[in-house]
Amino acid sequence: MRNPLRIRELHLLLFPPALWLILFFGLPLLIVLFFSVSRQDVYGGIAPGFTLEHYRRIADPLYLVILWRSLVMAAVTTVITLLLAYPTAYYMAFAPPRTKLILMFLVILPFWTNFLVRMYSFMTILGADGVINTLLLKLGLIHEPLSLIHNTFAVYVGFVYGNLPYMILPIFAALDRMNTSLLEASMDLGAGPIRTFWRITLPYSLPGVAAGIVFVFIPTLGNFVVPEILGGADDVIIGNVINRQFLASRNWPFGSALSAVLVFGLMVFISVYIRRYDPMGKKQLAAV
Amino acid sequence: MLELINVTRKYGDVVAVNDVSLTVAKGEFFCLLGSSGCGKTTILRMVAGFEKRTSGQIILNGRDMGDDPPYCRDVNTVFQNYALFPHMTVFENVAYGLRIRKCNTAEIGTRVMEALGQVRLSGFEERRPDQLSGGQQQRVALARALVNRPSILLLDEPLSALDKKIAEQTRLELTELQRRVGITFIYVTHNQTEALALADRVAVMHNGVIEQCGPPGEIYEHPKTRFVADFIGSMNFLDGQVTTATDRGCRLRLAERWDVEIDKASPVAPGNRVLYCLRPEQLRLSLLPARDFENSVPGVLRRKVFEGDATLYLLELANGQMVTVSQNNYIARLARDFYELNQEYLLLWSRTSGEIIRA
Ligand SMILES: Nc1ncnc2c1ncn2[C@@H]1O[C@H](COP(=O)(O)OP(=O)(O)OP(=O)(O)O)[C@@H](O)[C@H]1O
Ligand SMILES: [Mg+2]
Repeated sequence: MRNPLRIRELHLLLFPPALWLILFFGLPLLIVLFFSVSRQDVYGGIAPGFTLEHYRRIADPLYLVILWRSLVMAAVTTVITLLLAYPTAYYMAFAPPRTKLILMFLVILPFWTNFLVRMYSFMTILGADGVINTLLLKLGLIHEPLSLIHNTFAVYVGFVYGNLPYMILPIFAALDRMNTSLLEASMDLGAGPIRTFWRITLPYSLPGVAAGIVFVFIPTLGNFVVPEILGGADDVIIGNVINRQFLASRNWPFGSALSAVLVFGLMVFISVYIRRYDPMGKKQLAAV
Repeated sequence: MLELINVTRKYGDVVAVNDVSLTVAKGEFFCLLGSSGCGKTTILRMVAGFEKRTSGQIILNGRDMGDDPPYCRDVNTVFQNYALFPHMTVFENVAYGLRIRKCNTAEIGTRVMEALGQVRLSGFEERRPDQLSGGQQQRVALARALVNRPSILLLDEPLSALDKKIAEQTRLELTELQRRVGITFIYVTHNQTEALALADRVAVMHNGVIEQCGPPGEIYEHPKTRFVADFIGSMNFLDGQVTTATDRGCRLRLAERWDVEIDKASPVAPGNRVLYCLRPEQLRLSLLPARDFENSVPGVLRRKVFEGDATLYLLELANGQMVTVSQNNYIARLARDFYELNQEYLLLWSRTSGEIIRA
């Protein structure tokens, strides 16, 4: 399908968002870059002068370990979220219209409450005198409260819970626009339900999966709230380190250098990823 | 080879297919023809296995297919929207059924190429479906089904999404292809021209029931019900009553005033009401009686509709009924026939023309 507008006119549409991006994304990024090569002043501010010392400091094994742990956590979170989200999205996409609407509403419902509040509420669920422990104790299944909070497990619970909608929705969108006659055609050609899933449904939904992975992996990598609230002393990820540099340690240049490395790393990742997996679904959209 | 015995399909209170029985022979090009919502697709989907029947039997090659799932049936479908797999190339689309059947790579290669050759798409293997025109997509869908060499190929309005010219061309290719591969085709359409042109046999459906089933010529020349007579081509209906009847012919009294003799056996006993059906091309307009047209009724010419090769004349009979007459313009010009509006003419036809149907 061709857009009746000429390309030149289409470019005009880009102007307001471009301005917005330059003002609130490009400019701050430049400032961060500038900070990251500046000297640190004794009170935590920026002093004049150029240095690469902050970047050198990142190479310290301490930070590399944290960076690696962050990547692993984000990846594991993404995988668990995907495994939970796919069946949900699948069920939603093929449910009758009414059920579909209700489920969609339920998936979006958590957004009505502040993220922080929802994370704090996990304390009352996972805590030593929280809902789960109280229940298990009452039932006599355990004799001492399980330690469900302030550890890596709780961080994963928080991450997966918080990210589920971002994974469910793009996969659902991809599956929902799939014409059921594709499934019928596959069965007609001799493939049973399982082979039809692997050969038709899954490949068809891959753009949705790819988008979901981006939506989950990247915010998780930079998240500092969940480890702060639900994690233990060791559950420090790169987001926490950056957060601390800006607030507790008041070392803005080092925090900026860490941010810059993270942002550019992600940019490289995304540009390679988009080219490879087409998460915007260009090909698919053209085919519909 | 394929036999449907008293097949019924209900959706709640809606009876989509009502007690349908039919037999399709091996190698036959069979057409299901009917207007929208008459149950054609439902029959096709029951044969393919996408839809369960409420009652009845569907027998393929002597075996009741029962509730076999679609992937266990030796039947393939060409879908109305083609349903090509968007993430696969043309080659992979066509190879799909063979890969599922675990054919070896060499065989897949030759058979896919052969099938693409048959639908004149050699050289398109590496394209994706969205890089093809509608007609080309339709042919990929055809190749994807044919390559499996099914007992029966089911086609649900495969030409309806194509523009008229391409549809006509594809129609011709389709008959040739069917002759060549010798696979039984069951073809669903609401387009009577398509059905008459393509099919060895046509089943005309209405409200979930098969009204009449036979070769296109028979359906056109000898409709058995009012619906079929009305649905296929255009038709004039005259009310009549049988006055006398023999096994060679009968006398009818039309519109309570004109007596005519017809060389057709009456389907009912004398005294009963019938519909006498005449096609516009069986009728003649004339000022004088003519020898080969034994029956005549007077009327006044009210309208002329020029249609290029022919002209339609709308004649008002004395009882107020309008009758359509179609005359070839070329022949009329040769005979220097010219008809004036609001002039009285005789409506003539031969006693061998027309069909008598129960009222
Ligand atoms: N899933 C369904 N639920 C309820 N009614 C249905 C369903 N599918 C079909 N019907 C009804 O069954 C009847 C026959 O439908 P069918 O699709 O077989 O018609 P068709 O002859 O193929 O029409 P068309 O030419 O418009 O495709 C219609 O009245 C339709 O409304
Ligand atoms: Mg239909």
